[in-house]
Amino acid sequence: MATTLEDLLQTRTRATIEALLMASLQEATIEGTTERFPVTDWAPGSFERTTLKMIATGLVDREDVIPMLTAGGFLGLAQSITDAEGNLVEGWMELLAARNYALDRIEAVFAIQLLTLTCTAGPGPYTRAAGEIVAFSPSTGNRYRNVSSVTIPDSGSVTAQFKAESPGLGYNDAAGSIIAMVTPMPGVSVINAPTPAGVPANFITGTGTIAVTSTAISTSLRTVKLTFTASGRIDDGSAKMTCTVYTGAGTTVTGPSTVNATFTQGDLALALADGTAGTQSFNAGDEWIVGVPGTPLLQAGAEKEPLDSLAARCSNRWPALADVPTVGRFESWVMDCSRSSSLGITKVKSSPSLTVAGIEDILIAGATATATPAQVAAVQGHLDVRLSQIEGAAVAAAEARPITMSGQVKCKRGTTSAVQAASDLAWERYLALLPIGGSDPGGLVILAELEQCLMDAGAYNVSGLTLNGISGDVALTKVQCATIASNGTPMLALTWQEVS
Amino acid sequence: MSGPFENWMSGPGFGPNWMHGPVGTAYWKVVGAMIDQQTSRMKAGMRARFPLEAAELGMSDALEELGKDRKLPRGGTYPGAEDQSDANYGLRLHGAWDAWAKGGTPLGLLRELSDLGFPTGATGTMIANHIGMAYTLDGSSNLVISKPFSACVNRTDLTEQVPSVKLHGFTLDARDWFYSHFAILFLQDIPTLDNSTGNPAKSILNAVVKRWRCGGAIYNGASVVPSGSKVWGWPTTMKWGDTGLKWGANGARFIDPE
Repeated sequence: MATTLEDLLQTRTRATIEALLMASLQEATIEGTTERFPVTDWAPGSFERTTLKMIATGLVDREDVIPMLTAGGFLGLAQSITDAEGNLVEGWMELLAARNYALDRIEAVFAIQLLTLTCTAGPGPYTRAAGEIVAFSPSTGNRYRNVSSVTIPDSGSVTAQFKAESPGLGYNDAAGSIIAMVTPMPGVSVINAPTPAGVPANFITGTGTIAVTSTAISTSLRTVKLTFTASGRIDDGSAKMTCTVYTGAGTTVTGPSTVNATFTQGDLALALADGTAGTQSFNAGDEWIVGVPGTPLLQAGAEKEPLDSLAARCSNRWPALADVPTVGRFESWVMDCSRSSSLGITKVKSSPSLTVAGIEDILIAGATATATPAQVAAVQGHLDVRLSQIEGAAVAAAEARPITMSGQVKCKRGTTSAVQAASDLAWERYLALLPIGGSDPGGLVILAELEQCLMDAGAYNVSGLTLNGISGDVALTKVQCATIASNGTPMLALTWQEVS
Repeated sequence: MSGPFENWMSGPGFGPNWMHGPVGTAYWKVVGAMIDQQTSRMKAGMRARFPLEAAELGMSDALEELGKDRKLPRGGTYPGAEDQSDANYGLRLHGAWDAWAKGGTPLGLLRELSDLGFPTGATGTMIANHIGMAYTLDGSSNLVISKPFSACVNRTDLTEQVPSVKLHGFTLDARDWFYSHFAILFLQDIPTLDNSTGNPAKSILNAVVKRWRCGGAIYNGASVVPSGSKVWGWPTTMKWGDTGLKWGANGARFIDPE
């Protein structure tokens, strides 16, 4: 009788089963005698020995199931179950999550980019149905199709959403890199350009409006939230609001102050307007949230959820049983929101606010990019409706810390492209698993991981590797997430050389 | 005890008569016993998933795995001892539904600390918060709430004025209104707990607080206050300027939050 988990997790081979049968037969007595089986006389190839081998071989099939059945009940073990050939069997972890924890694995997410299509004077206008325009990035080869029907005016431009052709990390192309079309239209150019501010998340229940008027592209990454604290209008000075600015370094709240027709926060300029006379322009509790600067990446692409991440979500179901929010419960809510809305948020870090009593600061990020304003707004909204009126959570994008690299890589002739592609993906996967604040201890992005990605991908030799200009590990602060400036092709920053 | 396959394969119901006889019966009995053993292993693998079953089977390592899943590490007689019996640990894991329902509350935090070997009772573990509430467990693991702290000379009320009748509290932040701080006092010595880096009891304490604290609540750290020693704010009879006060005397020590 097995008495330890470790024992049950061991797969017994045919030889082991055969040896156990032989040992048992050696101890057994022939009925009605004190005589033992003469197993030591059973020569290889003999009838008795061969029969025993056949029986042992038949029993091995059952034997293989035992470690799977056992490990399949534990989060820490189910995520690494392999079959007889050593291949990961993902179904066990998915089954455990679905049946015991009522959690489905998060599917891979398609990146969605905001593309600007501009037509010169003369050849336009063009109208194309959904999916008919295919734009791509020359640097990565990634292709995107328009989500809905688009009309490009003659001598004008239009912005439209384009969805990646496949899901995954590799489709988070950098701003300004999608500049070509597979389906060219004379006189039309395309670009995924950054904008002064992102698409606002608007929870305005009054008749008023808010518009971004600044035109410069800010270098100060932040999320700005206007919260109306007193209902009213601009023209009679009755409406009041607070301004909350979330940066990776913390949260700043100003106000409440009277709402005016113009409002500036750093280099962000806004125009606020009343609704129809006699109506309430803004109601207390209304919110308006925008990310600065605006990124054309409306939805970051993400890989299918890693099994260890799924296991962590399952484990966080326990703290989520609490009547009051705990760290685990906040994290569960964020990931639930990400799953249900296909947000692509994969990283969460929660800590109590040091500036506002009773508030939990929650930083979020995607796999290799920080969260977009739309993602921040979606998560904030998800939490707001789950917290009581005396609790609070402030969601912000983790501070992006772009990781750049340099160094020399040698590959055997004809293998460079394959090595680049494999190491690109491996590096992106490494960064995707790196939590906000980096790996413990020390919050590091580890240089040796880069070398391993390259060598595992088939590089012949590497030398002079650096991360962010230093030949060592990069330390993230507690609020930073590692990001890639050139999604899809980070390895192009290295110097590549082929050798015979 | 014989299993079903052992009985069946060694009996006349299995195969033709020529397969039996003195040698055949003993032979098939061994093969049947092997199949029974496999079945037992399968059953054990399934039973190991359930805390009470794993405890009954004496599968300590299965309990450890379940404890990781449920974020409830094995408890003990003192922090880091991890000598909680399988039977008790199984019951505790079985009760994770109720235990975690108290997550984020003083009761949940104190019970988890108690399970992990931190002391209880009036001279045990006390949670003290900024607004002067103190929480301890009695001998039956029930929550005891009190307000033992002295009046603060500088605590302001909601009008941001120090009222004539002074407010009681446990000042954990220079900002009087910052109510969301809390600290832990151990009102007896815990020999294994010190502030050195890597101290196992310190790691356990900080990990428990991190998992069980209420969202938004800031943990300021813990003070070990053995009988006869003093720390800022405890005992409550101690006043600023009293003679003979010496920081860190008589084993009093502070344990940093993580």
